[in-house]
Amino acid sequence: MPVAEAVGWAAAVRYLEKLGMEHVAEHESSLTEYALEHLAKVPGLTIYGPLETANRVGVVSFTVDGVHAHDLATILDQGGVALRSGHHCAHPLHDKLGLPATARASFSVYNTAGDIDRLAAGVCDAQKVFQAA
Amino acid sequence: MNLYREHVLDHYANPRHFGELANADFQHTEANPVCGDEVTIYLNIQNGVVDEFRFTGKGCAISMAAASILAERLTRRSLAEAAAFTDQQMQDELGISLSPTRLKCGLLAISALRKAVKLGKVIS
Repeated sequence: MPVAEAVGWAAAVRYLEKLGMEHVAEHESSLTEYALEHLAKVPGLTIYGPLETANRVGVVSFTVDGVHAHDLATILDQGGVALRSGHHCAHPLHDKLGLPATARASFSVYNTAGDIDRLAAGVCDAQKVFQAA
Repeated sequence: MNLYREHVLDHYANPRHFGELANADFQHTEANPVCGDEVTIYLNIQNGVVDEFRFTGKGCAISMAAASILAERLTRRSLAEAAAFTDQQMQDELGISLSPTRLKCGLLAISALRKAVKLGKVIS
């Protein structure tokens, strides 16, 4: 029995229950809506999946023209924005979409709309790095 | 530190020795299934010397720049030198310090090269 993990998980559950899962869902949904709206305005950025929050959880996968997802994640990481990049354990879907990799932002209770603004600005910075090459 | 130094970006935007080589003496494709990067190395050898070194592939700037740098560095060098090229030499050529995850991108081409030489004329 992995005791430390179980204790840690219990603490996480208590934390979320104290916030109220309905509030957690509401916050994530509003950030997702904000992200879909603002990221869609970034030139060269393509969002995968529905462009409204129905049938979506708090994750948004996307690609940026001219910047590979790994490079994008590395550049954003240097600016303090953490993204996942790659296949996100969904290799067959990426094959089907014909994509070598996507970047993925995920939102939780500790994120703010300001974080998404930083993400959008970071994407533009990454495009500049590669345009200069 | 900035991973995207000018020479890495330059090799990515203007890859040297890019393209297939028909009837290569050595050929191997190496892929990183986790990130989707893929590099194929093609070598033609004459009198124990790398006469032509070409590569094709798709992937991030680090993996593609590494392949381009490797091709430039090892063309007209002995096959023995190419085969003995180390991970550290590859990192030195890139001139950047890579995190464990990105290190796999940086070493994909050298890994393909080693297998190409070891396995001989393999199409995979």
